[in-house]
Amino acid sequence: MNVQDETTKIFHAETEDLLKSAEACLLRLEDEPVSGPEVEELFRVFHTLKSGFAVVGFDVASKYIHMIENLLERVRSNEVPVTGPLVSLLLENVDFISEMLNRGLSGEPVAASEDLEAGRVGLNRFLSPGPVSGEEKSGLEDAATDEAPSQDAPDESVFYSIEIHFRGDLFISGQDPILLLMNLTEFGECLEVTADLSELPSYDEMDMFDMYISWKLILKTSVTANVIEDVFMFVKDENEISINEIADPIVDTIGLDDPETPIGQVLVETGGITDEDLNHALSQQKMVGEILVEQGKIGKDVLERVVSKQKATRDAYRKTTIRVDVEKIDYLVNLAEEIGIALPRMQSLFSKGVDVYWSEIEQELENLIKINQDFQERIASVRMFPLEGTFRRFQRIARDTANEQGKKIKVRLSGVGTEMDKEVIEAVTDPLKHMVRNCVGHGIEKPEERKAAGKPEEGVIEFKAYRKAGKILIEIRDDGRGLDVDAIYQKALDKGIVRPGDVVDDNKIVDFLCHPGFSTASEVTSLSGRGVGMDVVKTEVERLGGSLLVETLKGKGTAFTLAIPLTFALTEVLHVQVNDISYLVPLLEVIGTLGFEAIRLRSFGADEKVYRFRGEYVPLVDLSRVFGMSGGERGLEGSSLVFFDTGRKRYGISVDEILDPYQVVVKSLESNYRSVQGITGATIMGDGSVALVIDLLSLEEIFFKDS
Amino acid sequence: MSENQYVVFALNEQTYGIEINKIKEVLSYRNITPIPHVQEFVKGIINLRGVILPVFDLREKFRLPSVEYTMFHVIIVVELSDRIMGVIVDEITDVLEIQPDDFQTTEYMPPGLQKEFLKGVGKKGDDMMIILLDMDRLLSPEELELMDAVEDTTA
Repeated sequence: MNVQDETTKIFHAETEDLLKSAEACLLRLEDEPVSGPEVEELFRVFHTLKSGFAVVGFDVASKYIHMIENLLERVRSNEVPVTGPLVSLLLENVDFISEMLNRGLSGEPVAASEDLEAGRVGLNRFLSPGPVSGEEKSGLEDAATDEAPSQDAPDESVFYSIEIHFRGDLFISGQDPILLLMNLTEFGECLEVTADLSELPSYDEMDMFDMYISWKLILKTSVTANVIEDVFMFVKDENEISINEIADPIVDTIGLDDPETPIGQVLVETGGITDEDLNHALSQQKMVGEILVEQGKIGKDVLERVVSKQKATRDAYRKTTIRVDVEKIDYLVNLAEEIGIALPRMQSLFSKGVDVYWSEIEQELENLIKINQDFQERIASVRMFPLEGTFRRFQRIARDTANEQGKKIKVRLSGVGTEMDKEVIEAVTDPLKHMVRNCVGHGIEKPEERKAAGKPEEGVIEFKAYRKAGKILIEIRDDGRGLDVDAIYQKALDKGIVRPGDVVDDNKIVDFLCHPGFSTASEVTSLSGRGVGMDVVKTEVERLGGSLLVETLKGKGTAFTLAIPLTFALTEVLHVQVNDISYLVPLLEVIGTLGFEAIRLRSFGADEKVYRFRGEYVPLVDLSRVFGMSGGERGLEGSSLVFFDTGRKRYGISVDEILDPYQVVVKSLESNYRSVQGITGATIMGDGSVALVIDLLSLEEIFFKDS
Repeated sequence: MSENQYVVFALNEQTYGIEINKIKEVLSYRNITPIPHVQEFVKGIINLRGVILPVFDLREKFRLPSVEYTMFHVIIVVELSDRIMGVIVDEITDVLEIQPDDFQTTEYMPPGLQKEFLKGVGKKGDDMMIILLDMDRLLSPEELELMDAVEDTTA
C-alpha cells in the first residue's frame, strides 16, 4: 500500500469522525443555544477539518471551511449569537463538507461552484455587516490572505485602493514594509492584499538588501485618506504610494440579494474578472464524468456504472480501518499478560508431577478458561461501538424532517452508550434512517392537529437502546397518531397481500409494511412514502438474525423495535446426539428438556406432531427430516426432548442423548465449503471430531416456511 | 348457546372441533352422488329435504389418509362462508365448552395444517387436544367458487 493511500485512508476516517462530532456538538447546541465549550469544540473541529482537507490537497474545500471557521470565531467572541438558524446552517454545512469529502475522494472536484456560492451566501447572512473574510472579491479560487475580520466595523466605511511600490533601497532608510502594512490593518479591514512578485529575481541574483516586492491592497475603513497617508509619512516622498478612494469593491446587493447569482457572474459584474476568466474557471469545476458524457466519449450508463463501483470501493475503504478506544486495548494487553503468567505456572506444575499437583492444575485450568472467556468477549468488543453516533444522526434526521414539514418535535435518546458491532451498526443505520423519517413524516402530527387532539404541540420521538436476553434492542418510539391499521389493511387487500376475513394482528401489520412496494402515504414526499424502507429494514435485520416488531395505538403513537443478536465469538451450547451425530444447540434459547412421554404427544394434520410442554402444545421438529439426513423415521419412545424459544416461535426437537453444555468457538462453514441452511457453523470437539452448531432461527424458517 | 361451545369429532385419530353455532344438524352417512370435474376433496351432492347440498371430506382436505366410508361416518351440515354444506368426518365424540384459559393460539403451531383454517387449539384435562377449525376460512375463495359451481350445475 502506498503512502498516498494510507494518508487518504487516515484522512477519510478522521474527517468522518470529526464531522460526526461536529454534528453531535451542534445538536447539543440546539438544545441549549449558548456560547460555551460546545462552540470552542466546534471551532477546534472545523479548524482541524480545514487543515485535513488542505493536507490532502482539497484546497477549495479547505478554503470553504475556513469561512466557517471565521464565522465560528465570531461566535466564539460573542459577536454573533448562537441561534437556531445558525445551528441549522452549520448542520447543513456539515452535510456539505461530508459531500465534498466523498466527491473529493472519488476524484471529482469537491463541489460545484454554485453550491460553494450558495454556501458562502448562507454563511454571510450571519456575518453582516462585515463579510466573512477577505475572500469576497477573489472568490474561493485564490484567497491568498484571510486575516480575521477586524472588530467594530464602523457604519460608514469607505474603500481605498492602495498601491505601494517601494524603491529598491528602501531598507537603507530603515523602513520595514511589514510594519507599514500592519499599521494599515489597524484602521480597518484589509479586503484584499496582493503582492507583486514579478520583479523578484532568481535566487542567485537576489540581493538581500534590496526591495523587489510591491503591494496592492483594498482597505475598508472609516478613516480619511489623510490618516492613511500619515502612515507613509516617511516614505511617501521617495516611493510610489497611491491612495485612492474607490466605490465598494463588492457591490453587496448583487451577490447577496439574489442568492441565485453565481459568484462568477458577480465577479464579472464588479469587474474583478473577465468573462473569459470565468468560463475558464467554470470549465475546470465541472465533473469530469459529465464532461466526458457530454462530449460523447462515454455513455451515461458507463459513467453510472463506474460511479457506483467507485462508491463500492469507497465503502470498502470504510471497512478496512476501525478506531479503537485505548482503554479496550489496555484491557486486552492485561489479559494477554495474565495468560503469560498462567501458562508457565501450568508448565511448572506439570513438570513437578501431575499426580501431586492435580488440584492446583485443575484450579489453574479453571483460571485459564475464565481468562479465555473474558479475552474472547473483549476481542469482540473491539469491534463494538456505542450507538451514540448513530442516534445523534437519527436525531438530526428527525429534526431536519420536522423542520421541513413545520412540525415540532423533541428527541429523547437513551442507552446511547450501548455498544454494537461496527458492521452491524453500519448495516442497520441506513435502513433505519427511513424509519426515522417515517416516524416524523407519517407519525407525528402537525402542531395544530396535536393541539386539537389535546396533545402537547411538541411531538416526542424516543430512540432507545438496551440489552436483553442476549439481544440488543433498538426502539424508535413516537407519540404521534399511530399507524392507520385500517388503511394499511385496505391497502393490503388492494395489493392482494391479504384475504378478506384474515385476522390482522400487530405482527401482520409489520409484514404488510415490510412488503416490497407497500406504502400507505397518499402523497409521495421527498421524505417518506416511496414504499421503500421498511422492507429493506426487515431484510437487513433478518440477515443479521434479528427481528422487527411493531406496536401501535391509534392516537397514541407507534413503536418499532429491532432485536439483533449479540455476536460473540464464544457461544454457550448444549451438546446433543441424534442418530449418532453430534449437534450443538445454543443454550441461550433452550427453555427446557424433558423425557419423552407418549401421552403428551398429538399428531397434527397430515404429518406433524405437537407435544404438550408446560401446558402448551408446541411442535416437535424432526431434525433428520428437516436436514434431509438419512436415518429414517426415529421412534420417539425413550428419546429426550429439548425445547427452544427463539423469540418468535417455540418448538422442540427429539434427541437420543443430551450431553453437557459448554462453550465453543463457532467456525464458519463458508470459508472452505458453503453456507448450509439451518447451520451456523461447526466446532471442533474435545476429542477432535467436528460437530455442527444449529442455527435455531434458520431451522425454524425451514420448518415453518409452509405455514 | 355459548360461543365457547364446540362440537368435537374424530378424524384419523385426531380430535377436531367446530363452533356449535355453525352447525345446522348432523346426519348419518348416506349415499353421495358424485359429480365430475371437481377437486378431490369434494365428494358430491346430497339431497336434504329437497335441498341440494355439496359435501366434502375433511380427511382429504387435510391430506390425511382416506378410508372407505361406513355407516358410522357422519355428515355435519355446517354454515360456511354464508353457504350451507356437508362435511364428512369419522365420528362425533363430544360437545365441549372451551374456556379462554384452555385456549391456545396458533402462534406456535407446526405447518401441518394451514393456519388460516384454525382458530386455535383447545385443551381439556392433561391429555386432550382439540384442533379448533375456523369454518369461514376453511375454503379459499377459489374453492368456494368451485363449490358454488357444483350447486349451479345441479340447480
